[in-house]
Formats: sequence, structure tokens, C-alpha cells
Amino acid sequence: MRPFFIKITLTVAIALSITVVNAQTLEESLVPAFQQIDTSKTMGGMMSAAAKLDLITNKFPNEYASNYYSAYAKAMISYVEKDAKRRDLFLDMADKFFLKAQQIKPNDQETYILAALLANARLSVDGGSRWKKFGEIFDKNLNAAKEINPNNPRIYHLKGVALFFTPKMFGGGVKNASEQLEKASLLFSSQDSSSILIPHWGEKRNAEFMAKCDE
Amino acid sequence: MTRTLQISTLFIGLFLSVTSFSQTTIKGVIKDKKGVEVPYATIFLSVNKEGGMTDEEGVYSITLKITGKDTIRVSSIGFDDFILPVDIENKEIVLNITMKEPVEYLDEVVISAGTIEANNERSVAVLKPLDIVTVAGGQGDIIGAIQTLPGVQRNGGDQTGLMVRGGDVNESTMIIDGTIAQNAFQSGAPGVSQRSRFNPFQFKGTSFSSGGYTARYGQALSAILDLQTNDLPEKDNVNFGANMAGISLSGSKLLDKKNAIEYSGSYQNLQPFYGITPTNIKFYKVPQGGTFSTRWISKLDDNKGLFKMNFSRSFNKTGVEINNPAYPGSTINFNVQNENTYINSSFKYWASDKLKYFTAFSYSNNTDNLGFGTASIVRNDSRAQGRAELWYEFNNKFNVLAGSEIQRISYLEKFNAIVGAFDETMSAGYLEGEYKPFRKLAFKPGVRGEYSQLLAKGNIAPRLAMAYKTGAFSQISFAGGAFYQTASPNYLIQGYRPDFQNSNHYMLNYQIMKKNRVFRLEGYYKSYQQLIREKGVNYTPNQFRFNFGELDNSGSGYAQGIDFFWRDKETVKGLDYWISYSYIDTKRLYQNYISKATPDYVSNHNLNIVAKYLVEKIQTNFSATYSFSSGRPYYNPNSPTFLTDHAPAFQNLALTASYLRTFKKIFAVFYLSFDNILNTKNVLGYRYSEDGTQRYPIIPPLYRSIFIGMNLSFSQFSQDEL
Repeated sequence: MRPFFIKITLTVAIALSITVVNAQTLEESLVPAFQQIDTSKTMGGMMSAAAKLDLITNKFPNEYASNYYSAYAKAMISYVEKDAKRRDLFLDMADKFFLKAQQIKPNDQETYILAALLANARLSVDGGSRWKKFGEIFDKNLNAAKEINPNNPRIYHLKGVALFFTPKMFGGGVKNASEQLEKASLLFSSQDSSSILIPHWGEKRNAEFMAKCDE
Repeated sequence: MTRTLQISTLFIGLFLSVTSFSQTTIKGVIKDKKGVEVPYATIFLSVNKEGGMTDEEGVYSITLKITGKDTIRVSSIGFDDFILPVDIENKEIVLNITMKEPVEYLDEVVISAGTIEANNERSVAVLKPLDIVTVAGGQGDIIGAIQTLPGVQRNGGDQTGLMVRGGDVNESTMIIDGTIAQNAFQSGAPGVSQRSRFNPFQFKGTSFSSGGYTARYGQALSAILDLQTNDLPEKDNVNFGANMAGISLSGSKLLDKKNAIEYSGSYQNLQPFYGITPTNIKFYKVPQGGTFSTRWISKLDDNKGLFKMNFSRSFNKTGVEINNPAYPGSTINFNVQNENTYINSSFKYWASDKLKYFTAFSYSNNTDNLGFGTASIVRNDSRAQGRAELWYEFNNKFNVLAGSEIQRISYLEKFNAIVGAFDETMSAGYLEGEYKPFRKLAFKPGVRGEYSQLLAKGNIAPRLAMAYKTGAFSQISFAGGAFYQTASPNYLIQGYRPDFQNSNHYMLNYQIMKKNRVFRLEGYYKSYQQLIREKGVNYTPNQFRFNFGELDNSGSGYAQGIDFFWRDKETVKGLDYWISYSYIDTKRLYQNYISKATPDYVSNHNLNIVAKYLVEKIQTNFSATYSFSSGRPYYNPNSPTFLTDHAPAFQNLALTASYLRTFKKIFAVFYLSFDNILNTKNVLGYRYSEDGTQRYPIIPPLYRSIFIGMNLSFSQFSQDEL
């Protein structure tokens, strides 16, 4: 990571993060930080986005959305991180934010979906020995979300991604995965994405996995 | 670095100078204890509500507007939060910070001497529970898999139980949820090895201690197999299994979010199996039996408490023509009919983060109706055990466990008209501390006191385990102590009351565990004192002898050896293998032995190679186990020295192929396994006729065998499926 411009980018990021925190509303603060976590491909970019989200949560500690996105960002980083132990550490941090979000909205579809996302992230750290426990937690939460709103695209998106990584012999595989991803895709196009305060992530990632299924 | 800092400051300066004039800066470098920069740490000042993040070089710089008292908080993955009150003045503050790693996130030293654990709760473990059930040749029995671990004698097919580091089968104990599982093995004919009674899928954790074990347990001179049953299941399911030895049905049902029941029933009949595989002994009644068990699991008070209760009842019967142990060369009919009832309950409660209670209770009752030629024998034993303990953590460096247990054991044997019986009440108390002065070093001293009402004697057994982390992935550990065990019920039932037998253990272990590789090397020395000796009788290898002469505690012995274990899941993708090798040198003078000798169940060399390979394309998992044991000693009456003749070495190669498939909501496993695929004609020893002129080989009940079966698992889903 020698290139000089990376440092400049980061420096700008630091400067930006300050302005982010200075921004007036939660919504205004969340939009750029969320965009960064959703588009970054590098660890550095994702980490700086997560740091921004944490700073926002520091400023708005009792808001559902700030805690929600802080947890979400950690989960996304855990998928990119290579070291198994650090992946769990990120998820430990995610759990703290998740518990806070769960306190604020215990019986919300997005809370269940976030719980399923975190379970899937835990499972993928050590699939061989965690599939049972976390697979069950994953299913349970998606079913709970589905009872509230069967048209939430993230239910099928997460199910599809999980199936993509599940060997065929255990009921996964590309064919089963793409069924779910396609269902999610239809629902994504009609979801309410008017405000960052109502989670609506996943469309881009869903499309990426659909492309992978077609390979 | 300096250049970056300058540029950072410059940029921030440029950027912020536009927004405000009266401001100050707090900046610095954040490093860990080793002096390595910490990137992406977040910094937040609570009064100013300003924050920032370190760059890749650990540098941060934050501009502040409000002067006066503030608090800085630095957070980063893998570190404790750093919190410090700061006075913000109208000048630049340079604050370099060193982050500390939290105690619980570090690879703490874990005492490993003598113990191999298989659990899913720790991310790095020597074995996982699933590894145990998928060992080829293990027949899905925990004991089969434990036999591939170092320190354990490979059972040649003629023995039942665990023989660990020179100890015989009576010197190991199985524990389930904190209490002893009496009669852990099915009753069968002599010379035919028996499975344990327990379904391996009901356990979430297995901790096998080949010596030097915790003060919580006693009454085992050699080893402890400590099993923990599953917690509350997450969802309902139903499993159906069928194979050449029987059928089974099991399942779990959630009653609500806090309560679940599990049930299982099975019927065993070995007719199809023995119909295909030629047996070396004649079954005039093929083994058959049935088991019913049920479990109730309940969570209390927001996960603070967990209650488990297990009930199981089983029966089995078999009839075999065996070599007459009293008159080799002739056969005798042996039949057994067994009934077993077992209740086990445990309750764990976290009163606070620092205080935990644990109580457990178990009761078992076992009856064997034996027919031995024309003689009939009824054996009945029952055991009730209660345990209560308290664990308290004074601080993260020191915790203490204190507990007590009481057991009531009754034995009754009717041999034709002769009745023998005894009742024993054994009570024990124990105290064990764990002290970690720093994260690399751990001490676990303990002491256990026992009192036997039957013997009107007690014993005090000190224990000590310690470990030191020698590197990021390696550690050295020690375990030792004194262990006591009452004489075998065979003696007590005849009215003998010898003193406790005693063994002292010293074991030293070196372990490297990195990612998916484990290396372990363990050396040990055990001394035996006060072993039971039968005086004034001639030696006979007949295990059913009943003339014991005079008993005393003058026996003694030793065992020393080296155990090696290597496991690698890393090198070849999809391949997981382990190699265990044990060398043992042991001699003892006990029972009716003429002189100090290596017992006839011990092989000096034991080697096991276990390999598993998953071929995802054909959805099939292949598993192979190769075992080698050097020849066991046998008694030759014509030899001038006692127990010095050796049988040929034992070899076995087992293969299992499992085909995995999901049909809609059904997960299916079809398996095909071969034991002794090379059809090696193993000879485990010899028995001599009374006049010493004829010898007869002791052979396993089966040579090559084939076994086929399947398992179907149905998961229940909500009505309208995803």
C-alpha cells in the first residue's frame, strides 16, 4: 500500500468523516457513509466507511438506523477479512450494535433480516462446524421476517446467497440459489428506497450473485 | 510517515480553515503494545462530538472547536477501548496512544496436558464433534473414534471398553453432563466387543482425558471421557435411519421458545449383518435389542439457566457359543439378557457474570440375566449420584470451583443359589482454583477428598495442571496428581474389602495449533500403588474365575510412554487427516499375576491413520482408517517367563463412503462401509489347554465385514415455504 495517492485519499476521507459528523441530520450523515460501504471493494475503503458509521452512531447512539448500519458494515467487512479470528472480532462488534438496534425495534422485519445476515456471516467463518447452529438461527430469523412481510426482497436475497455457498448435496447449489435470487430481484425493483432510514440494501449484491450463477 | 503527517495536516488545515477560525487540533499516532501502528481505529470526543479515524500508518488528527474538559475514546477491532479525559486548550495537542489487547480476545493459554477436546464452541479445537462420528471403522460409536486418539489401546474386536495408557477397561469412566454413566456399554458375550449405549449425535462436546484430569472427578485410575449433551435445539426435525443392524427414529420438537423435547427409539437386530458376513463365532441367538429415550431441555430466566433431563430405557439379548474360558478347546453356551434404565438431569444457572451454580443428578439400574452352560447368573447394579457445585470468578485472573458429590451404588449377584451383594455410599468434596497471573501462564491446582462408607476409609487426592504459552501458536503444559479407585465389584461382591488402589500421574505436553494444523507430543509417567492381588491361587487367564484366594493391596506397577498426534486440514483442499502414534512401556503386578508383567491387553506400539476426503462433484465423502498395534502378550504355561510371549501384530484397514443428497426438504446420507477390507486374519493371542499341550488362537468375532445403511433427516418448515 505504498502508492502516495492512497494516503491522500485517506486523508481526504478523514477530513470527510469530520464533515460527516458535523452534518445536521442522521439521514444526511448516513447516506454517504452507507454508499461507501456498499461500493468499496477494498478493506481500507470499507474500514473507513465503517469508522464513519461508528462515529455517526456515537453521535446518534439511540437511533435504530445508526446502530443498524454500524452492525451491517461490520458484517460486510467480516466477509472480506481473511483471518478467521478477526472475522469473529468484527462480528462481536456487530453484535453489540445489533443488540442496541434490536432493543429499539425488537419485532421489525429488518431486525430479523439483520440477525439472519449476522448468523450467515458467523457461519461462513467456519462452515464445517457452524452450519448447524447458525444455519438454524439464519432460517428462524428469515422465517420471522417473512411472517411480517413476505415481499421483503432481502429475505430471498440472503437465502439465495446462502444457497450459493451451500454444497449441492446439502440442498444448495447454483440452481436453487438463482431461484431465490430471481425472486429477490423482482421484489427489489418494487421496494421503497426513498429513505436511508428504511433499509433497502442488497439490489446490487443480488445482481452480482445472479451474474455469478450464470457463469 | 512524517511526510504523510505533514500532508494530512495540510489537507485538514486547508479543508477546515474554511469552516471555522477558533479551533484546535488533537493528533497523534496510535500503536499497539508491540509498537505496530493501528490503522482504521476510530477516535471520538464526547463533548465536542467530533471524531476521526487513523490512516494506514496509525496517524489521526481531529480539529476541535470547544475548549475545556472532554473525553477521548479510541476503538479498534481486537483492542480494548481506550478512554482518557483530556483538557482541550487553544493549542495543538499531541496525544500518542498505546492500545491494549483485551484479555478475552487473546489466544489464552489452555491447559492441554492429558486432554483432547472436541467442541464447537471454541473456534480452534483439536477435533470437532462431527469429526468423531465420521471416523471409518468407528461404526458411528464415540468409543470407536476415541480409539484412534493417542494413548488409547486399539480394541482388537474381542474387548469392550476403553483401555488407556496401560489401564484396563475398569480404570476408565464415562461421564455425561457431570455424572457417571454407569454401564456405558451394552452387555454382550465375552470376546465380542460392544458399542457404547449412547447416540453420538446427542453430544455437543467431548473431552477426553487420558490422565491428570480435574478434581471434579475421581474413581478412575486411568482416564475420563466427559460428554456434554446438546442444548436447546433451534428447530424441529425428524430423523429416520435404517441399516443392516436395525432401524431408528428420532426427532426434536420445540414446545415454545424456551422448551423442547427430543425423543428417539430404535430396534436392533444383527441378523441381516451376520447373515452376509461370516462370523468366527457361532451365534445361536443373534443379538437384538431396543432403546427408547427422551430428553427435555428448558431455558430459564433470559438464558441464565439451562435444565436438561434425559431418560432412557433399553434391552438387548444374545446367545453365543464361546470357547470355554475354564477349558480351552471346548465350547460352552453363553447367553445374556440385559435391561437398563438411565435417568440423568443437570441444571446450570448463572446468578451473575461471576457466579455459576451447577447441580446434576443421575440414576441407573442395570440387570443382566446370564446363562453360562447350565449355570444361571443374575447381576443387578444400581447407582444414584448427585452433584452440586459453585463457580466464582474473583477477577479475570482468578476463579474457584467448589463442589461435592454423593453416590449410592448397589450390586447384587445370584449364581445359582449363591448370593453376593454390597452397598456403597461414596461421598466426595473438591476444590479447584484457576489462576492466570498473566495471559501466557495458567495454574490449576485442585484437591479432592473421598470417603467410602463401605471401606470406612477416605483419601485425599491433590491435582495440579499448568500451562505456559511459548509462542503465538505453541504451548507447553503439565498435568498430574493422585487418583484413587475402589477395587472391582467382582471382589467386593464376595465380601472382600481391600483398600483403595492408587495411581500417580505426571504428564508433559507440547502443542502447536495453527489454523488447520495440530501437532501434539506428550510424555507421561504413571506409578501404581496398592493394586489388588489375589494370593494363594494359581494364575489362570480366565476372566470368569471366582476363586480369588486372599486379597491384599500389595500390587504395584508403572506405565510410561510417548504419544504423538498430528492433524492437517490445510495442505490438500478437501483432505483432512490425522496420525496418532503411541509408545507405551508398562508392567504391573496385580490380580492373580505371578510376577510383574505387561498385561495381556497392552500393545507397546499403536498407530492410527485417519483420513477423510470429500469429493463434492459426486457428493461423496470418503473416509479411511488404518490401524496397527504390535502383538499383545499372552500366557503360555510352557514358557519359563510369565506373559512374555506375543501374538502377531494387529492390522486393520476400514473404509467408508457416504453419499449425501438433498431431496426437497429431506437430507439423506447413504453409507457403505468395510471393516478389515484386506481380510487380515488377526490373531489376538492364544489360550492353552489345561495340560498345556494344545493351544487355541483368540480371534476377533469378524474378519472382513460390510455394512450398509442410510439416514433421512426431515426438517420442518413454516407452512408456506420460502
